[in-house]
Formats: sequence, C-alpha cells, structure tokens
Amino acid sequence: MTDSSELEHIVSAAGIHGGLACDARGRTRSRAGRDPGVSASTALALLRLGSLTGDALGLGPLRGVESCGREHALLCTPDGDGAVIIHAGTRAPLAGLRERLRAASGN
Amino acid sequence: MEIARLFDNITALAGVEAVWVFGSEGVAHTHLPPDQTARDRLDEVRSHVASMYAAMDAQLPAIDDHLLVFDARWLLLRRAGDYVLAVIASDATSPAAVRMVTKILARHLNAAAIGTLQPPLQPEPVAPHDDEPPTAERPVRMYRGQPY
Repeated sequence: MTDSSELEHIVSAAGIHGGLACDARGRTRSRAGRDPGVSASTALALLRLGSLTGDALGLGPLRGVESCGREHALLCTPDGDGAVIIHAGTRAPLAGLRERLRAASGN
Repeated sequence: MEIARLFDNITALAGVEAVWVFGSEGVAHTHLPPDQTARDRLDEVRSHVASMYAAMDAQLPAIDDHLLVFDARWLLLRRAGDYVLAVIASDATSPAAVRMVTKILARHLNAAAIGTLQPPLQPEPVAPHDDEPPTAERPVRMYRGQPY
C-alpha cells in the first residue's frame, strides 16, 4: 500500500495539489497537501464503475482512472483494498504516476 | 464540417479498436464497433458511464474526460453536451494523439451532426436456399507463394 511518506513525496512534485489514500470503506489512511476535491467514496465509486465497465467490454483488470476538465485533473488508482487519489491542476504532472503508484500499492 | 470524416481521423490511428457515441437514450452512433460480446453489453456500459459522470459532477463539475486504463488497452470517454464519445485503443496508442483528433469532433457532437451519420446497418440473416446446388469450394489463388 502507498504509505504517507510516498504520498508526501508525490505531492511535493510541481503541479500536484494534494493526495489521499483510503481503505475499502473510504476511511483515510494518509493525506498530503491540499484536499483532493474528491471524497474517498467517490474515488472508490469511480474505480468500481470503471472495473464494471472494463468487465463488460472484456478489457481486463482496471489499473487506474485519469479524469480531467478545464481546471482539475485527477488520478485514481487501486491501492490494496482501497484507493489513492492524486489531484493536480492539469494532466501533465500526473504522467508517470500511475506506474509508480501501482508499484507502491502491490496491486 | 463533415462529422464522418472527424470519426475517420480517430479510426485512422493505429491501435484504435472501437469508436462509438452514447446519447441519453443509448448508443447514438457506432463508427467502429467493439467485438460482439462487448456490443451486446453497451447498454450496461452506458449505465456505468452515466454513473461515473454523475458521481464526479456531484463533487468536481466540468470533468468531461475519463481515461480508464486496463492491462493492455484503455478506454477514453469524452463528454460533449448530451453525448459521450468512447474510444478503445491498445496500450501502444497514445491517448494524447486520440485526444487531439477527438477535440474538434467533441466540439461538433450534437443531435444535428449525429443525424447526418448513417445508422449502423444490421446484417439480415441469410436463409439457405434448398433448391440451390452446393457451390464448389473456390481454389486458393497464390501470388509469390502466398495465398491471397
């Protein structure tokens, strides 16, 4: 699982606003930087719905969801039985984080 | 702006496996259909996609793009008004390239533009004719030692 020092390290990178790791019930395990703007339960819901979508389309296991709009970019990845959410202003700072989080999560 | 050409720009990218559009009632257009098993479950997929947008809108509005990354493929969902464009591609395809070619398309995705597209034709099952003599199997033609 992603520990708090790993999360602090990720959030210290330029362009990353904040991050949160939670367990399967949406309880915060660790937090760094600003509030990610999305609750743990929403991140878990995104991952669950993404997994169901992947199952229906025969795409295999979900590795993460990257969501973006005009002012926000979010990365949600499975982390043990829970999730990690990383919030940035744009997509660019999130590049490469998915693999790093996957390695840390043990998923 | 001929919208069919904008769809063609997506399918011209190597590694793009399926392209379709969800409307509020169901699949509004299929440009490059996913495989049959997936096609049969698109209504179910639409419901999951709608729930994803609803969950996100409740907290961070104006998040229109979701990139769902799987083991060897990814699914890009781009919302444009009442429509959601869906693209499945292999890992080797850059999502940035697909985002670039879908940007103009997303801007022009509306009911009028969708109406100009041919609805996907359903192939009619061909009943076998008992009175027709069985046709002989065509001989394999060869070119430089390769069948073609």
